[in-house]
Amino acid sequence: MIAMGLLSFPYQLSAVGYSQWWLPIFFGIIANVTIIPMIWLAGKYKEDSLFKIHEILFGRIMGKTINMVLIIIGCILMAATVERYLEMIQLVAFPYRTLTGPLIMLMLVAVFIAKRGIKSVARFCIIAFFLTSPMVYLLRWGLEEGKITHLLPLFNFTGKEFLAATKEGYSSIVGYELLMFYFPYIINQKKVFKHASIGIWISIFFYFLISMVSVIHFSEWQLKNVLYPVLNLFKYVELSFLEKIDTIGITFWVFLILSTVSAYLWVLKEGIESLRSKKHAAHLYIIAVIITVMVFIPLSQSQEEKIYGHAFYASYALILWPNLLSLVHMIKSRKGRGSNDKSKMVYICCLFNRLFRLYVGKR
Amino acid sequence: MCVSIWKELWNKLMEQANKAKQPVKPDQQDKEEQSVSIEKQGKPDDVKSQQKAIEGPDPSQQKAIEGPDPSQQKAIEGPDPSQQKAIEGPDPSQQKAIEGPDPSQQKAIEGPKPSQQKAIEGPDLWQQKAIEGPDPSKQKAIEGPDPSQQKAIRGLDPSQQKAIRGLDPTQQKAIRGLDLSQQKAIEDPDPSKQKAKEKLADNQVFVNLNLIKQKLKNIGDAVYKDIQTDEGTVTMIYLSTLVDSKKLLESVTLPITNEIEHVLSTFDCADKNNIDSMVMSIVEGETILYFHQLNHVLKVKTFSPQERAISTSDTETTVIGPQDAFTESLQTNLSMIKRRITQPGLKTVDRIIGKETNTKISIIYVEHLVNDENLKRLEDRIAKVDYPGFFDITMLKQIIEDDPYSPFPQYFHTVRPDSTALWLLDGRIVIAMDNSPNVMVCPTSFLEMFFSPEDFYNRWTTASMLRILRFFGFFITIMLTPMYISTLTYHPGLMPYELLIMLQESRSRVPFPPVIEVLFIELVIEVLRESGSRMPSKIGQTIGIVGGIVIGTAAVEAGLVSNTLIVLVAVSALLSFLMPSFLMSNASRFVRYIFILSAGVFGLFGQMLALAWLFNHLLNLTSLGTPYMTPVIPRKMTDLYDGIIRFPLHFIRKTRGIARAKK
Repeated sequence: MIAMGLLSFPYQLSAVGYSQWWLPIFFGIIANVTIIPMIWLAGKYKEDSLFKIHEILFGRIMGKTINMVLIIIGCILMAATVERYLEMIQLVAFPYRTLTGPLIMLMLVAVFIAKRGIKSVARFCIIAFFLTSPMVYLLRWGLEEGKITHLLPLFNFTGKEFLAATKEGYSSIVGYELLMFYFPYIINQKKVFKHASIGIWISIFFYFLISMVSVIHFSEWQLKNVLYPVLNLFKYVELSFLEKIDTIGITFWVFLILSTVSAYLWVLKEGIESLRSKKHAAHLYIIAVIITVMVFIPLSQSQEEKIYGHAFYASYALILWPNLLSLVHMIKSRKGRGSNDKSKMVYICCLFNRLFRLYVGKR
Repeated sequence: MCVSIWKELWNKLMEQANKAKQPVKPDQQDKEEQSVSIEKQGKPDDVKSQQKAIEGPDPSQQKAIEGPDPSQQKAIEGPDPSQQKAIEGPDPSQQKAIEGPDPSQQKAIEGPKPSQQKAIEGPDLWQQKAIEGPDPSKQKAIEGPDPSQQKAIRGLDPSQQKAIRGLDPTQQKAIRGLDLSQQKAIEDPDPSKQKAKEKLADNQVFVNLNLIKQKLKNIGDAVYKDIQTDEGTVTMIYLSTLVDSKKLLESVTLPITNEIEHVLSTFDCADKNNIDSMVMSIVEGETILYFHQLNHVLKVKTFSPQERAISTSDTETTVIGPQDAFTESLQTNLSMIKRRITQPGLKTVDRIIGKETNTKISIIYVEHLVNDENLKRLEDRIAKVDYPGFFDITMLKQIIEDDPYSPFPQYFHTVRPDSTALWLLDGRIVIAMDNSPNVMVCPTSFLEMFFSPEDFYNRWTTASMLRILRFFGFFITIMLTPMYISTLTYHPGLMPYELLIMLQESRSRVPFPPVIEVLFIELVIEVLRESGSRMPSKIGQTIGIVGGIVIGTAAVEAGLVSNTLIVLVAVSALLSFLMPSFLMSNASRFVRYIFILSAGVFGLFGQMLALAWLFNHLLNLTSLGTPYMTPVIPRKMTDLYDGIIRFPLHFIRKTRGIARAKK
């Protein structure tokens, strides 16, 4: 969940101005609610990942087509993450150098992590969390130099602004939908909801901290115009022995990027395997090469923004997707069994599904 | 006519044999094969004559040897000449006759009737005496030096022998399976009879000294010594380099010359059917005693090579705590562990590994603590080891490690008995090896590589401080010089202005990029360290001084490296020796080069990528199937009490997560 999004999170939320600091909590609630249908659905197919579920629910051809679309979206998402990060690295650490080498090295290490399977990815994510979370301490200097009065008033925005901020900001939160892919590999499947919620709220806590400190520290104009507020917050750190802490911060960020990229890599590899119904180590390398090439494709900034932006919207769709799948599953099972028992959970799912559609439709 | 009768009879017997389908007992068959193999091995001419003497005594002589009753004797071993002829004869018809002899004859050849057997071996003391007794005159008749008798014993000609003993297995079976009563006699379930029979068979196997000599040929220190005792001549065979003469005198020579009865009843019996095992025990340093008259072989443990005394450790010294360290002797090492953990639960399982070296190892564990799955896994791995020779436990360690390609040691090794005992009480498995002063501990985690037994003897505050120092020392030593490279090459902005000026000033005369500079000076340090460790200590000092001057001032003055770098390299070299595990400090030095190169290529970003690789590698490593990074995965809360910070001892009661101990 935490990768590039966190760096520019306050900027994306800037539409609502100073009131943005409590938005992460709102996002957290949304995220927590949206994992309910995911887990419910995954619980119905304990042994199968989303790719397999598609094939079961929609039939072979249709399922594979959907999977194909998913894989393409995944590739674009990954390319977006990697490219944004590398641009950042170029900005901060390698001002006058090409990014070919770092890109290849980054992908190599990501492949290295993903090669050993989901276990390795999970372990890396845990260690990345432990290593990078102390960086929160660096926010101290930002807090010291800000005005706490920026936190008030609370609801100083219009509905339109709120929607715009949500649309932009929620893209940083996405990532937990991968749960549907690695669910079959979870040992304690009964406690998934609890653990996933804890995970979501931990990362929401970091988002909350960052946006709050940004609100306290920056002026409203700065929030709207500073592209990477977190970087700027790093710059305010004053240590006697280090000048530009943001260089270290950004290079250290590679742990978060790698945890995201390797997780996506693994999921995409699984996707290709489900497409070809065959397991092969080469799939991982193929995916990595495709993404590297995608990052290399010279596109203008606006085109990139467009493509990547759409890809992120697609991931919103993916978050809502399980609702639809649950419906299909329900209809199918009703047809199959002739019963019409509708659990409360499903009812809630449908409700949320409808709500979200309304919400997205307005946008 | 005669032939057809024989044929019919043979077929009948075969049927009977198949019906009975009582296979020959495996041990008997083994013995049978052994005797055949002994015969075959003794091919060389000088051996042949003796062989004859052993195997085929002349009926008349046989009488003298085995039983005073001529008729019985006849029944046992010597088919009368006419029958013999029938068996051996070149005539094809007669040849057939061999395959199916008349039951009575058969009886006579192989299986004496129970009554007869009794007569031979039974409780009849007088007869027994006749066979084994100390009666000198009869003994003489058996083994005596009288050449004519010897000749007589050599008895039957080789072809005859072959005919009787060398029948192919199926025929032998057929012969055995003839008469049911005979069958009974052979495989009688009655243990006493069985025993008597075995004894008879055993007594009939004579040890071929020449064969042993043949096997020990070209071994310069092999000693054959004949000693005259009350029980006749005894030949002592041993390797003089493995056996101390004083020990030999004390434990062998004096007892057999003075208290032979005692020796016969207390010393270990050797399996005289198995020449190979006898030779093996000689090579292992045991002394073999062959009693010619009694046809009896004993072996004595006389292995007594020179051993190093128990001394303090050079590599794992501590200020407080016990100072003794393991030696090269497995026995001494085991005793050092056993005197620390006095309880019957401490198990030591012996194994022999190494195809050529036959090295003894001992798997040590506390039975009620160790994880059975771990133990089984380890034993399986040891069983699969296929390697010619082992000279230190570290060799075995590399072979049975989970990931042999990793630069990190996955099992701990120590020379300290106190440390070993601590690990054992934590439910770990320890392997000790003969000729190795190190023992291996498994499974172990990455963090535990930074623990020293002294941590438990110091106050918890000091211990925690030292552990923090060691643990972070590892990461500093791999990051310090790479940081210098990336700062000066890619991110000069990282430094405060004053520091940067100072750095640049000291580097102003250096014409190389920082990577080359660092690689140069790191390599010089490595060379100094390596040459220092190979040099004799007196020259080593000189090297140290020369190296110090070369690195300290000359290199800087010559403009090869900067002052600051000298400080950094020296600090990182010192830090790399902080780790109590020597293999870990070696690993840290190797990993540092990866970081130096990646910093040279991509600066701080490269360093972080390398760090990510390192963590991923460590996370994927396992030690005996348990994750190497154990405080991270699997997480066990109580492990934190004895982690980077060592809590006061009364917090540390439970065993660690990685051991998955029973309690």
